[in-house]
Amino acid sequence: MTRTTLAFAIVAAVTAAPVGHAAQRRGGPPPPRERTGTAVIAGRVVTTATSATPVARALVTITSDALARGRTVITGLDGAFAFGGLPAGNYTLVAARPPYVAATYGARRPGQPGTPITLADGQRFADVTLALARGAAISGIVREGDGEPAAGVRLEVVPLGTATPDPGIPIETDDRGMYRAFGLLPGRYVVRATIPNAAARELALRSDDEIDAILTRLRSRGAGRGRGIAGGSRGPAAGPSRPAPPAAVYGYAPVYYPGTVDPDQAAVVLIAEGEDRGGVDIALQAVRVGAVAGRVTWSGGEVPGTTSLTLVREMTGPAARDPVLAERLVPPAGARPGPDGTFRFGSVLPGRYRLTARTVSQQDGVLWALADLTVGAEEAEVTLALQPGLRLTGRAVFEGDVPVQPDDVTRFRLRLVEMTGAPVVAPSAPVGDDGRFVFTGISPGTYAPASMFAPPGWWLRSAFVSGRDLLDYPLDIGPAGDVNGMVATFTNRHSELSGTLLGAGARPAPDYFIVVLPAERAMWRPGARRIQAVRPGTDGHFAFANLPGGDYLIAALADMEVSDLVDPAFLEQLVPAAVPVHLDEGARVAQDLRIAGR
Amino acid sequence: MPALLLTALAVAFTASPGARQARVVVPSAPPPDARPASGTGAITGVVLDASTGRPLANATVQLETTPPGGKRQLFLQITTPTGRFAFIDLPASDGYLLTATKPGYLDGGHGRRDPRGPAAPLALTDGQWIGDVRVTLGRPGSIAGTVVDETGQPVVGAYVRVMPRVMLAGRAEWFIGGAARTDDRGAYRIAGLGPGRYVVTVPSVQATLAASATPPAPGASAGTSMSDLRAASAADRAVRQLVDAGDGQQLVAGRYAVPPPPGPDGRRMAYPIVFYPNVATPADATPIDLEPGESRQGIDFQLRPVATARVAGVLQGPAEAIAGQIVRLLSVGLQELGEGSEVATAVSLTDGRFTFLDVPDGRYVVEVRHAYAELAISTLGDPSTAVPVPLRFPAHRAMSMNVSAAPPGVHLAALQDDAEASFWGRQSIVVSGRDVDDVVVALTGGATLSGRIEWAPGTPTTSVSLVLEPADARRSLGVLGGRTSGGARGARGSRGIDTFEFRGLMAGEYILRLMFGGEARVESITWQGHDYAERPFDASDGHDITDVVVRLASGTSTIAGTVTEGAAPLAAGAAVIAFPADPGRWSNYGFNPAGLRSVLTTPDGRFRIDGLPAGDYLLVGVPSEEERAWLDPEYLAARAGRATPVRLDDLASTREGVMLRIVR
Repeated sequence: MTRTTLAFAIVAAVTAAPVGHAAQRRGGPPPPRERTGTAVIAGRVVTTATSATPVARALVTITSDALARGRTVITGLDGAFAFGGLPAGNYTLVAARPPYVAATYGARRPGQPGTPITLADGQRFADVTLALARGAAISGIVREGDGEPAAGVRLEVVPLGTATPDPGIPIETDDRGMYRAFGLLPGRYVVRATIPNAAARELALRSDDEIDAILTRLRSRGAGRGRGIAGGSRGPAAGPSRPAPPAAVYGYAPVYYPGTVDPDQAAVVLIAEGEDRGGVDIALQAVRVGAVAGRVTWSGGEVPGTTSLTLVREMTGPAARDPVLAERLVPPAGARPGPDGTFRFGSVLPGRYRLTARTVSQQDGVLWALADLTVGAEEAEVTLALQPGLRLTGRAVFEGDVPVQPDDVTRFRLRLVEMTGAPVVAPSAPVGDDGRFVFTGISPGTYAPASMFAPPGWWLRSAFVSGRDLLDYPLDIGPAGDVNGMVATFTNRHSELSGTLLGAGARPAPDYFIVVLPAERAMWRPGARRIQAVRPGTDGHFAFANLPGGDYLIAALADMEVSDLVDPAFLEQLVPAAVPVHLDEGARVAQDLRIAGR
Repeated sequence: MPALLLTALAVAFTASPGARQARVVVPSAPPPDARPASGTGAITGVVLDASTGRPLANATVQLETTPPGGKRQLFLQITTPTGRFAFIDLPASDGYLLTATKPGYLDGGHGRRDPRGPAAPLALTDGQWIGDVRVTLGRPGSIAGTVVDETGQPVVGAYVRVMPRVMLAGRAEWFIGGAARTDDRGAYRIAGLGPGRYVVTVPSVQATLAASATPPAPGASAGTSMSDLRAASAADRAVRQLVDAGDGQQLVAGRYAVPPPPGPDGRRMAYPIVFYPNVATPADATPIDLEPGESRQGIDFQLRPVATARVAGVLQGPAEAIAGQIVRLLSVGLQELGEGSEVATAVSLTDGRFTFLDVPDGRYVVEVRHAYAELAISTLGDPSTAVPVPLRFPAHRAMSMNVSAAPPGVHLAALQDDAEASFWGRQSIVVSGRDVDDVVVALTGGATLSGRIEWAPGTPTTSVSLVLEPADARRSLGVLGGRTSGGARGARGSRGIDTFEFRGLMAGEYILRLMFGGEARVESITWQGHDYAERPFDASDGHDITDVVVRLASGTSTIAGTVTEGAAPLAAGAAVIAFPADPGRWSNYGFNPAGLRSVLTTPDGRFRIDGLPAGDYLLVGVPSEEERAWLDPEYLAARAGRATPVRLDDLASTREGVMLRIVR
C-alpha cells in the first residue's frame, strides 16, 4: 500500500514547544451581511496530465466563514479565474467541470479534504493552480441467466472505505443491458445489480418437465382439452386431479460483480485515476430464496400500529466492523406487521440476520424485540415478543467558570447515540432541577451519551458509569437490564490543542495532515472523540478544540485517507513518529511541529 | 369512478436522478393475498418475442383477478426455457388479467394492443382449462446520439429529451417524453420508446436570481475536524452555484451547459434550447418516425453559443401579487410544454421588478401564472421525464392524474400555487440584438367560479374534491382546485350543503368535474337554469360565475352485454365504445370526459361498463385496436349511425344483455 508507506515515511519531530495559551481562536459565527475587502485569490485550472492543459468553463467556487454565501466564477479559455474584493478569512476553493472530478485547493487527491487559504487584509493569493483529474468510469453489460441483456436493472457502484461520502448515484442499464458509471474517484468499488421491486416479488419457477407433466394431467381430465382460448372447455374437470408439486420459490436477489449474490464474495474493482474500465459484466440469476415470517406479540395488549421491523444481514469481512459500509453493501429490509401482528419478509437471501422490532406508542412508550436467525431456502418462522424499553438513570454535574443556577440546570438535555448503526429510536432525557435524569424506552444497543440544546459554551466532557467514561467506551445496554448511576459532567471550560506546522526554513507547511490520538490504545475505536485529523491552513496553523484531558499523541502525515482513522493498525504506525502531549482538563496547549529532515 | 384515476402527490415530479437511497426499503405496494383461494381452473400458455416469434424465457407472467367484493389475488410465474407458463388450481373468475413483463421488452398482456393499454379480461369457470394463451412482447425503440459543443468537445451531463407527437382531444400535440443525460463521452440514449413520431431537444434554461434573493451558503473554516471536512466536501457539491453577472444579478450555473465567456463586443453568450437537427423550434425540427423496436442512432447535436440580451421589466398589480413571483420567459409556440422548456426564469423582487439574463434573440411570452399543468407519456421502465428546473414553481398543491382522452400511458401533472394566489399575466416581447428594459406585465386576478354542493336524499355525505379542467385540454390554463367555505383546499364539501370557489380562472373554457367523492357521483351541475355537467363554462370575458349548484348522488350505473361477429360469437375479443348521443359532447371535454368510455371484451365478446352518468348513449363494438379511436370526433360520427342507443335514466340504472354486432 503506497499510501501507508507514504504516511509512515514522513516523521514529525517537534521544536521545543512552549506550553501556554494559544492565540485567539479562529472562526466565530458567520457575519450577518456580505463583507467586502481587499484580498484576492486568483489562479488557473488545468488538467492533471503532464501537459497541464487549461480547463475552460470550469466552475470555481469559494466558500468562507467571512462570506455570507459562496461565490462562483467561470474560467476563461486559458483556464484563468480570479476573485477580488475578499475580506480577511479562511477560504475553501473548489473547481469542477465534468467529466473531471472536483478538485479542492490543497487536496492530495480528488475527494480528499483541502487546505484552507488564510487571507489577511489586502493579501494577494495568486498563481493558484487547481489540477483537475479526469473521473474514472466503470462500464459493462448486465445479462440474464440465458445471456439476454437485462434492461432497467439498477446498478450501484459502492465505494469501499469512507473517503467518498456519497454512497453513489444509482444508475440503470439501458435497453442493451449496458451501464456506465463515470466521474468516479480512484479507489476500490463493489458493483451491485438490483432488479427494481424484486423484493416485493417472489416467483414460482417451474421446469419444462413440470409444465409437461401439468399439461399431460390437464389433457387427461378429458373434456378440459387445451385448444386455445376460444376452444377452452367450460365443463367441470372429470375425476380428481393430482396436486401439482408446488413450484420452488425463487427471487432476484441483488447480484454483485462478477456474479455472486453473497456480498462477502463480491469482487473489489480497483480503479486508477481517469481509468475507463470496461467489461465489468454481471450475470443475473434467479436464486432460491427463503423468507422470514412470523408474528409480533405484546403481552400488554394489541401490537401497536406503529411497530416496524428491520431485517439486517450479518456481515463478515471488513463490513463486519464498519456499519456504514455494511449498510451500503446490503441495505436493511423493512416491514410492518399487520393488525394481527403477522409479518413476512419475502425474497430473503440465505444467511444470518438480526430481526428487530420496535415501536413507540403513547400508551406503552418504547417497546422492542429482537431475534438472531439463520435463513435457509425455506420460510423461517419467528415470534417476537415485545418488551418494554430499558432505563438508564443518573445525575448531571456542572464544572464551570460561572456556577450554574438551578433555573439553568433544566436547560440541559442528554440523548443516547447508538454507535453500531443498529436501528433504534434515540432516546433523550431532560436534566431535572435536582440534576437528575432518567432515560426510558431504550432498546438494546451500544450507546454513548451526547449533549442536546446545552446553553451556549457548555459541552459534555464525561459520562461515567462504574468508573468508565461512556464517551470513550460506549456501553452495551442489553436484555441484561437497566443501568443506574451515570454521572454526566458538563463544563464551559474549553480546551484547545493548537500549533503551527513548520517545514524547511521554518516556513509554514500546509501540505500535511495533523492527527491527534489518545495514548491509551483501548480508546482506538471508530468514531472515537479523541481521534481527530485536520489540515493546517496555508499559514500552517492548526487547532483541535474541546479535547478532553489526557495523554495524547500528535503526528503530521504527508498523506492519509479519512477511513484510515478507524483502522488500529494504521494508528499503530503513527506511534513511533508521533509526539506525546499532555492536555489538562480545560487547558490550552500550543504545540508547534516541525517536519524532520528538512 | 374508474375513469378518473386520481392520485394526490405530496411532491410532484421532483424525483431527481441523484436522489439518495432510503435507509430502509419498505415495499410500497400492498401485498396481495399471500395464500390465494384455490380452485380447479387452469390457464397455460407461452410468451413470445413479437418480432421473431421466439419463445421468451425468464419473462415474469402475472395473473390477477379481483373477485366482486373480494381481495385482489395475484399469481406470478417465470417462464421456462421454452417460454411456457402454467397456472393451475385457479378459482373461477370472469375477470382474469394476464400480463407479462421482461426487462428489455415493452409490457405485454393477453389482448393488449398497446404496452401501456389495457389487457383484455379472461373468464374462467370451475374446472375450465384455458390453454395455448400466447402473449407477445415487443422490443422498445430507442434514440441515441451525442452532444458536443462548438469546439467539438463532448458536453457532459447535458439533458436530452424526446417529445412524442400525441393526439389529445382530437388535436396532435407535442408532449413531454423521456429524458436522459449525456455521459462522460457526451453520449446519450433514450430507450423504452414505443413506435411513433418524436422530436428530440436539448433544453437550456437561463435562470437569473437577484443577489438580494440568494440563500446563504455554508461557510468554511480552518481547524475543523475531519468529519466536518467530510461534511463540507459534500456541501460543496450541494452549494447552489451562482455566477455573479453584475448589476446585483446572478445566474444559476451548472445545470445546463456552461457557456463561453462574452464575445469581443462584450455581449454575454448562452446556449439556446435546440431541437434536432440544431434548429430553434419543434416546427422546424426533423421528426423521427420510430418503427416498433427501432434503435435510431446518430441523433447528434452540436451546441452553438449565441450572443444574448437582457430582458428586464416590472410586474404590475397589488403588492402581494407582484413580489417573489416566478417569472417565465417562453418561446412563442412552446408555451404548452411546461417546466424545463423555458428559455429563462427569474424571481421578481418585492417591487415587482424582474430581470432575465442571457436571452437569445427571438419572439417570447413573459408569463406569471398561479397554476399550470403538463402532460407526459411514460416510457418503458418509467424513466424520469424531469429536467432540472433551477427556479421551481412554488407548487402548494400538486396532483397527478391519468388522462382518458389520450392514448394509454398519458398522465397529467397539475401544479397550483396557494389557492389564495390567483393573479396571472402575459406579455409578448421580441428580442433582437439589444437589451429590452421596459417590459410591463399587468397581473389580473382572473374570474371566480363559485357555488354550492347539494346532496341527494340518502346519499352518504363525504369529503369531495372538485376540479376545473380546461375544456380544450390546453395545459397552460392549468387544472384548478378551489377552496370551500371551510377553508379546506380542493373544493371539498364535508356535510350537507357546502360551498366551493375557484379563483383566478384565466381566459378560456372550463369543465367542472368531481375528482374525489367516495361513492358520490355528479347528478347534475346547474347554472342559470342550464345543465353544465360535461358542458364548459366560458370564462373568456373575465366575469365571475356564481351560484353554480353541483348536485351529488350515489349509485353506479352498469351496461353489460355481448359483442358478436354478425350472428356468430367472437373469436378473439373486441372493444366497446360508449359515447354520448349528443355530438356536441364528442369534443371540448377536458382531460377525462365522464360520458366517453371504452373497454375490451373477453375473448368471446362479453363486456361490462360501470359508472357512466345518466343520459342517452350510443354503444358500438369495434376491433380491439380501435379502443381509443373515440378520441377522433369524426370516427364517432362515422359510427353513430350503426351504434346501439342505450338510455341510463339515473346514476343507478342497469342495462344488461345489450347485444352489439362488431362494426368494422
